[in-house]
Amino acid sequence: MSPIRDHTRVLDDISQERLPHETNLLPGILNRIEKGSPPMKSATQLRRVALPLALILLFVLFALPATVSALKQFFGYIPGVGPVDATAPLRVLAEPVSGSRDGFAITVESALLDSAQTVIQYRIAGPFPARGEQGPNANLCQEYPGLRLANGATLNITRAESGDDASGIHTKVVFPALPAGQNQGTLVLPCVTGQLLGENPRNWEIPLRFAPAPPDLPVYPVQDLSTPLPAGKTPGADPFNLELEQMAEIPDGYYLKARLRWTSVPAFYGVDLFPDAVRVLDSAGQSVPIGDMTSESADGQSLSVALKIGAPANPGPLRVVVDYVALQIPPEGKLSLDVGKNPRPGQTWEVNQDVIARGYTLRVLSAEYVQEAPTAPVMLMLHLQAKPEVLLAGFADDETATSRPGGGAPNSPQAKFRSAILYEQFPKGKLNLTLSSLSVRRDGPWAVSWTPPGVDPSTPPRQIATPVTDSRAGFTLTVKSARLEASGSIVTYAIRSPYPFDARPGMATDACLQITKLRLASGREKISYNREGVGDDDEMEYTETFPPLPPTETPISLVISCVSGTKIQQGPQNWEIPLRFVAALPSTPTPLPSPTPTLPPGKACLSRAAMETALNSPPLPLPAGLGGQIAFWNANSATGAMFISKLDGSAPASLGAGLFPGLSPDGKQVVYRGPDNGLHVRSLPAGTDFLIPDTALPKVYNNLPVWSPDGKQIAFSRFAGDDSDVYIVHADGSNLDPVAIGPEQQSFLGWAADSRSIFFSVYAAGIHHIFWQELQTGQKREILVLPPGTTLFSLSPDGKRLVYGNDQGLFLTGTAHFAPTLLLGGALKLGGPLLWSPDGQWLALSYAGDADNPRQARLALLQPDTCQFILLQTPAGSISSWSP
Amino acid sequence: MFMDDLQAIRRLKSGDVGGLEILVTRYQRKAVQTAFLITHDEQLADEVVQETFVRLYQHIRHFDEARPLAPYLLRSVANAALNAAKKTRRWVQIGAGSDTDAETVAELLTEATGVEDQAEYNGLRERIFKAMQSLSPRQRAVIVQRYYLGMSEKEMAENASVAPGTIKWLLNSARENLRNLLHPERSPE
Repeated sequence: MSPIRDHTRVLDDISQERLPHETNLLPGILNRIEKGSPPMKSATQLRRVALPLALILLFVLFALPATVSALKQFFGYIPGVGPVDATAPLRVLAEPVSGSRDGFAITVESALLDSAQTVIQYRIAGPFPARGEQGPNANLCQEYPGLRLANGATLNITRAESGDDASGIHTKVVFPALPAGQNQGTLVLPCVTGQLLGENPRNWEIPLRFAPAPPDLPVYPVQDLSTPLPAGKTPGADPFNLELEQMAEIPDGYYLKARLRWTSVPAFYGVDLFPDAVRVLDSAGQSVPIGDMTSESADGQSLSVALKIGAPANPGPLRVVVDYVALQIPPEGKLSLDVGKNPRPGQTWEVNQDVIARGYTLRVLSAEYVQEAPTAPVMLMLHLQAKPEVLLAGFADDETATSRPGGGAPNSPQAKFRSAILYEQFPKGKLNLTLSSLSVRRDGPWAVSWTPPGVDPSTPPRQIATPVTDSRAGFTLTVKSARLEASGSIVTYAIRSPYPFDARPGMATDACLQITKLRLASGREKISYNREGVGDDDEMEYTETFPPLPPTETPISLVISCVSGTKIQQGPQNWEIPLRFVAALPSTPTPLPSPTPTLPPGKACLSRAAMETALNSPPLPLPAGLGGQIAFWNANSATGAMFISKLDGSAPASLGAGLFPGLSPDGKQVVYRGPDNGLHVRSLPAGTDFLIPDTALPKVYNNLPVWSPDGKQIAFSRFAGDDSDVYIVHADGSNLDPVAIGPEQQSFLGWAADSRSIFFSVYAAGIHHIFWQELQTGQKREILVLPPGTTLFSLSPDGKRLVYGNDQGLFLTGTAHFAPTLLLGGALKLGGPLLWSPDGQWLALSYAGDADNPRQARLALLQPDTCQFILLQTPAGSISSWSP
Repeated sequence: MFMDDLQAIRRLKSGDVGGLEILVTRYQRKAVQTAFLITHDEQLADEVVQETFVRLYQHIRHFDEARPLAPYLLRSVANAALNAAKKTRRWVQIGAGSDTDAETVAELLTEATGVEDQAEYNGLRERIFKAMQSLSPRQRAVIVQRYYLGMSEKEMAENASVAPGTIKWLLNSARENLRNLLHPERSPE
């Protein structure tokens, strides 16, 4: 029996005969729109425009618009999970679940269930086929996990994110909430989303059980923030405004939720945010690490950005900055090309046509027939070119019903700008394509400031009563010092291992990833955000930095997840060392002796080879941004000679006889030691010069005067008899006062940035001790002890880094804790005077030839972080001052 | 996608509700039939379709213009109809021992495609409708998706679990960043 009608017709007839002849739903629909949802607003919905990035980026977040729940007020934050509704009982995974199949292994690591969502995190390791970073990767698994319930219903994901590392592919999926009584489900993986098909495991089912969350599950309270409208903001001048909505304080930083709002403008209908557009800066302008970032558009007029950030290096206000956004503009443009009657995979057609949409020109360079594998979809790949202001473009083939967008790549230096159209069968002949999406760059920046809940600077410091030693599994750990201050908490400990530490280079997949915490009496924990160490094969000394703690919070123990340098499950696990804190001595605590580093050769920042390269190279221009004015001197004559010039040696000028010229912060005055040994202040524009009273005295030598950052005072070291003390005088020559005196040798080191305190050194019994002192109260504190044999040292302008030299070489250390790194070995004839650049990024030092070929000292510059080395041709002499 | 659909969608995207009128007029009948075949409830079918168009209106800003609208719309209607039918619980599941199942309906449908006699065709349609009435909404949805909307089994599987319309990629992985943040430097280099 041959069919005379198809199935559709049969069902069409069945429904037609049971329905009224007329259907007019429009009035009802319009009525619902008017009464119901505001026009053009959707439920919480993630952005779609970043689809093309799928082809070049590693991490994915995807969402299903139809299944996302409405906006909800969250009250808590769980690291690794995100905001949760903590107002109702939470549930977690009853036990971790593992399974393996065809060489692949899955571990469901956690689950968190609240009243609004079910968040499941799992990891899959296995022989996934390699993916080419630039390949179109059309044959990826595009199916998503589901959560099948006991009643057979399957929940679809609302959101997911994925990333991979050496241990496998980590995925976080979010499903709708499970009813309170439902404590079982089956995670169903049709395939591993985002990975190439091929050996990808299919239809994997993982049974899960859920249980009430333990009472100690850390849920950090989320606080609402309000951002006042910036003063003077003119409505309409800039349609964008950035606000902060929420924050939570978490052990290793903060959770922040910002919102970028805009007023509707016909020129664009959507806004997207790319991850590289968002920065967080601390009060010193230093980048704060962003550990996690998600953004979503809840309506057509705003975009929320959830950030998990690390602890800022500098206290004070943070700035969240959005540098640019991608505007989705209504695309209008057409493209015609002829692929001929018999197109073949791999075939390329030169196009070279401009598509102009809303004033933006998109050049289509060529088209390519791409099919990665016989089972992969076929695609037409358009290779594009545009000015950087065009970020993304998509094309559609409206005349082929079975076509769909195939992604592409953004217009960036890291990718080939392109757009793909997927077909069930590759078309033939003339194609009429339309520009279906176009995103263009709109530069900000838009910024909002927020001050983290800080610790009162007057909070008295605390420290452990005595060093604590504990042993476990053959390891011995000694907490040498732990100090809680308003600026941060520093713990120094040494670990001795019964066997050599793992010294394999690079990232080993089976290495312990040590996490160090301070466990507080309240049950909360603070995670270390910085660790520095020094040591040898079987003993390491670490200094860890934790966020500051208010006086209401006291650590009760140090917890080490595992020992860095061991393998997973090797050595002590979750090692908890009890600590007891007491009030710190208000002044001159006795720090533990700093170790003298014994360093193997070849580990210096600046090697002999790099040095020789610099010596034999033609003069190089200074790096961009590196400049300023310098003052220098030589002692070729009995009275000395002083000069100033630009850093590059240009605009030189002689200042005449004298030593140690110091430029004022505005560069208009110089303080120096005159031929009379007294301190003089000279106005450079006016040429006037005056002697600071009571400084020109017989057998009194005033050395290395330095202006305070606010330009109001001058500090210097005065040497008289066999004694050296630190003095300060007002810039007008009044109020000459000793501030650091004693029988030892006190020498001025530097000003604090606020001009209210100084750093100085005390040389006693062959050791340099570094002190900080507040000028108004006289309160002082010893912050560092330098190794014996130190001959020269210099403090960075922010007081946080110190460079020192001894016969082993030149070293760099932080002042908060002593952890030296070798800048250059002692064999290299580079030395003092040492001076930091005004921004603290570069070191100025002298090169005086080598032992066989001594020469007049030349100025050299070293960037201690990058080891960049520059030997300047001019000027000659010893630098004493560097102003911006 | 027909150009008219694209124009209508772009009108809608620009805020012109006239675009919706074009789409409603064009697809409401087929949409109501789809919903009715699953719900077996005329009023409920109307509500489902109205709600689906409202959602389309609300989400149109994010609608991928390269996708054909009709299949998307009708699949959305089928999904919404299934959800609505499950909530009403007005269907009666035939107990064990009944010989009526989705396969039986499929066989009847296939039989109906070849019947020339109108009276016989009328009778078969009645049997098919009653057979469908005895199915669960989920089974009816399967029949409608497969035999009325012409979806392949693969498409039906995808439709049941995903709607790959929005994919978003991120540069950062919390895990990777945590590793970078905490990875200690043992060597004082």
